[in-house]
Amino acid sequence: MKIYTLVINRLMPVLGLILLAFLVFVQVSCTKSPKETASTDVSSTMDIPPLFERRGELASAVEWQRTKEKVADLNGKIRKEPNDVKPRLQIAVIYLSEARITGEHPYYYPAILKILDGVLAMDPKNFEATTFNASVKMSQHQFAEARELAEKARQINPNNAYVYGVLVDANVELGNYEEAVAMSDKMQALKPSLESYSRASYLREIYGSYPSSIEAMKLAVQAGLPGSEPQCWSKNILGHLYETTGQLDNAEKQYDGILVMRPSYAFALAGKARILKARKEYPLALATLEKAAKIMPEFSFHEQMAEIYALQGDQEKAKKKYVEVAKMLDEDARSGHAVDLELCKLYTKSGQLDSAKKYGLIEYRKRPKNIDVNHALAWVYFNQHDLKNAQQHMQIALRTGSKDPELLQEAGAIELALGNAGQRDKLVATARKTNPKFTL
Amino acid sequence: MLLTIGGYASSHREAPLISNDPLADNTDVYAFKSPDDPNTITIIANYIPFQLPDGGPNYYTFGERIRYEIHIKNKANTATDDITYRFTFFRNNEDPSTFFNIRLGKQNLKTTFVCEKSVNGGPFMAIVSNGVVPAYNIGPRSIDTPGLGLGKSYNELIEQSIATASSGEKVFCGPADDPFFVDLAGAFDVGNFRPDGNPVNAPKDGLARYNVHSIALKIPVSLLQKDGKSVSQATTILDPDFVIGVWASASRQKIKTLYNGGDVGFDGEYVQVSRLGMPLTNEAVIPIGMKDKWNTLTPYGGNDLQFAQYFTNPELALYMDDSQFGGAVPSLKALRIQSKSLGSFDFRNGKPGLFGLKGNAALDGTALAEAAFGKVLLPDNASPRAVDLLPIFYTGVPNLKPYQLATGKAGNPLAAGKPFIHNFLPTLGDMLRLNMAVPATPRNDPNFSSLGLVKAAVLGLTDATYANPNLQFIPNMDGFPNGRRLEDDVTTIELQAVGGVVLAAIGLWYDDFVPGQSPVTANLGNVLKFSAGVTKNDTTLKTSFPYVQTPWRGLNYTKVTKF
Repeated sequence: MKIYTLVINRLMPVLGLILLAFLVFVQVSCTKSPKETASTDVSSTMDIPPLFERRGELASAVEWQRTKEKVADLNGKIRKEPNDVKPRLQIAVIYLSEARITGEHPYYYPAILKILDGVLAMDPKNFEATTFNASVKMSQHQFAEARELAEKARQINPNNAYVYGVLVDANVELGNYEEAVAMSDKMQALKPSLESYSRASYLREIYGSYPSSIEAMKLAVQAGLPGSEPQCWSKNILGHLYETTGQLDNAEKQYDGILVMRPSYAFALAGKARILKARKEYPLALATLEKAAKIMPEFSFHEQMAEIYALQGDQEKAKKKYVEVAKMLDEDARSGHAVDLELCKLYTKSGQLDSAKKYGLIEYRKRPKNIDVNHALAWVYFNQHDLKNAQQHMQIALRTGSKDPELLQEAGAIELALGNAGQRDKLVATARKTNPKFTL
Repeated sequence: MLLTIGGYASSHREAPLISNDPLADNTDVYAFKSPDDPNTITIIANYIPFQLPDGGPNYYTFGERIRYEIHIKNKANTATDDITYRFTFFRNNEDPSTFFNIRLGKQNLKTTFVCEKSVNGGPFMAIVSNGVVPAYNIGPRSIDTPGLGLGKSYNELIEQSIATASSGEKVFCGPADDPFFVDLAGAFDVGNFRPDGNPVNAPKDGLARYNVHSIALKIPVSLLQKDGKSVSQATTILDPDFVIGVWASASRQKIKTLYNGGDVGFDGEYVQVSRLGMPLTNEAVIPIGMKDKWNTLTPYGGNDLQFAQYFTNPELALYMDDSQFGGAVPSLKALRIQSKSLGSFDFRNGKPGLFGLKGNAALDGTALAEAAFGKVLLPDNASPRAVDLLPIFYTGVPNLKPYQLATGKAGNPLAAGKPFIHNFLPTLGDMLRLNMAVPATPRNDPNFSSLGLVKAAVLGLTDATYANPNLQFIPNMDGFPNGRRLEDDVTTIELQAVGGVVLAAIGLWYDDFVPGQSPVTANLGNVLKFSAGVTKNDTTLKTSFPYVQTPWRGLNYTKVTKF
């Protein structure tokens, strides 16, 4: 007899909770009651790592109290029924959400993997555990593994939209864009939602259509519950798209809108800081980034600070900050997070080109078809005056027809260095269509 | 200008994977004879669960670009909806300069709607084109105060927003108290429901003080009945021509990932993202991996047959069966499924149930005969609940032998007994089915009960007023699963039904029945006394349309312990 699991997040329709408690995991061949088979000698993979206590601004977010209560409830269930996989999966879902909200990835991802290992030890073909495993691998930038796990999950159950989301993401990161588009269309057919609209938006951006990318992300925002983390995420990306296309006022509106609903949404503060930086209001931009960095340990906030120090002419301070960021990334790497591309970009900014190349190549070997990886590597080679390699990687980076102004401007710089002024003019003109204000 | 558009965390944008879609989340559907008007049926579909009354600054409201639909069937021989009501909502910010929801009489997220109706597959025609959704009930300054707020009492806002459709229905769309009730904490604690009335650890309504958004319709029976008949034309209170099936849904439009355009790129197709007919089916019966698929399907065209196995051998029954996991959930110990009813019939999962009678002449003239519905009701020797749970969820129950009360059967469950239900509309799909000819039970009737049809069965079996084999109105015949009233305790009723209470009602008694003695045995008594804890809503209901209570007010609602 197969028993199915119910995965519930904080907003699950309440009716589902009623019977949730009755559904105890039973092996196909099981003939004893779960109580009779429950092991009293719980092994370490069966232990549930505790919630990471939120601090400061994040602790005042509306859902935190309920999250704590729910995790306590679920732990109570696990103590009573150690062999029941459902409460374990529910805690995994909550931890996935907490990882997003708090940015405490080094704590949460290993914790989630441990919980999922416990579930898979009991039920090796558990669909949810396999899918969540794929999600965590995505978050840790283990893209090939994520894709493999998601495909495995899809074999178990081809009718679930979530798994197609992971497949879109993994294929994008691996540079399998055509497959990502196919998976995105399947996801749409199963469940149009914030999750599927936002993925379509990203693919449209990759394929060079900012207007339709923006429209799809507006749909994602509209589909979200006001003030929820997923909706704030979507608004934040919409802000990004506005920034990329030079619409700073629209971008700022998005960031301000998020902060009214969710003052602890640090990425919106970072967005505000970018707008301030663009307006050359450096002290205020830095103060805003400090505020964001207090909320969540996100390396990119510190990277932004370093850029501003450099713009202020304080190269020494910028350099120190870059070193600090590299340390943060190293810490992330120790928790299983692959950060080679981030390090490549970081070392490019700080002028440490040999290190940049080293990390860029590590990433390139893992995913040679990804346009972002090739873009980063092309720029490293350009800065090292290795124009042949720069052009080769840039051609791969341009293969989807991306209209990203930074990408096109850099491609133009490479072409100019190669003596192809006409080609450079074309690229720059296209870049300016996307964002007339952007210059390298 | 240097403006680096770098990713944060970098090389990939981590889009959310798990967020339910609360704006399109259909939580409950109700369909009942209006208690204050025998000529109308009220249908209510609720969406957007768990709304805190003080959930500002962006208060909840219906989503845009979502099709909210109420689907009605009144014929079993048509392929799709016989009537569809479609609601589309639009939001407008009257004062974008403020982040307040309401200020100086101006309202942001002001929501209006269009209601369209399609009959017999015909084109959708607007029947309400300028509907208004009341603002969220924020507090006295926002709502009542002239000049500063909207200058009206909240109940005035509700009254003014009740529209009369051009085709005759009354329509209300707006926030309301969530009428559903359940002991969530008990459910969380491994089914540790706390019995109603116990002084030591009282059950607590986990949905207390939450609001939902309701779409409510008060519809003349003549608009719903397949031939346009009114209630007065019904031949009996169980007239088979007066059955409707109701379900609700929400759909979002899909977009094509890549296309040659600068806008959204809808490809015209709406995808259903949630549906609800019978309570608890989707949440507790359909496995998680099948939920997305379940949500995309209509209950027509045999779509739901793939899920029938979850009714014919319901998982929950394992916890009401001592040979399986009967000890795992102590609070269900009162529910023990018949394993040797009348000495021989075993209805536990995987057992034959009544299959041993298949083809037997004793079934002639009953719904179980092969010439009638035997193929569905007695499919094989290991689907025991195809005889009771499956029809409740998939076809409705016919007023045919053996689906009559044991009263008058003289000990033979296959004989004719006292009629108590006919909501038969055999479409083989999940819908809430209601016989509109059944009168409403007055809410002040001393026999009015949240146990719905179970209570009607008890009265029909044990109360001298009704203990005769004739068709007569028994209080609560208008209750779940004959439709669903706002007061009905569907959690308890469904758990009792899985526990075999319907089988007992038609004369397939519990194991402790001794022939010649009262069939109301200790086991049956335990089942009837069982409750899932909270048995009523945390506030009253309105006595007139839309019946759901005014939403809790954000500023000063009284808080209660939910756990």
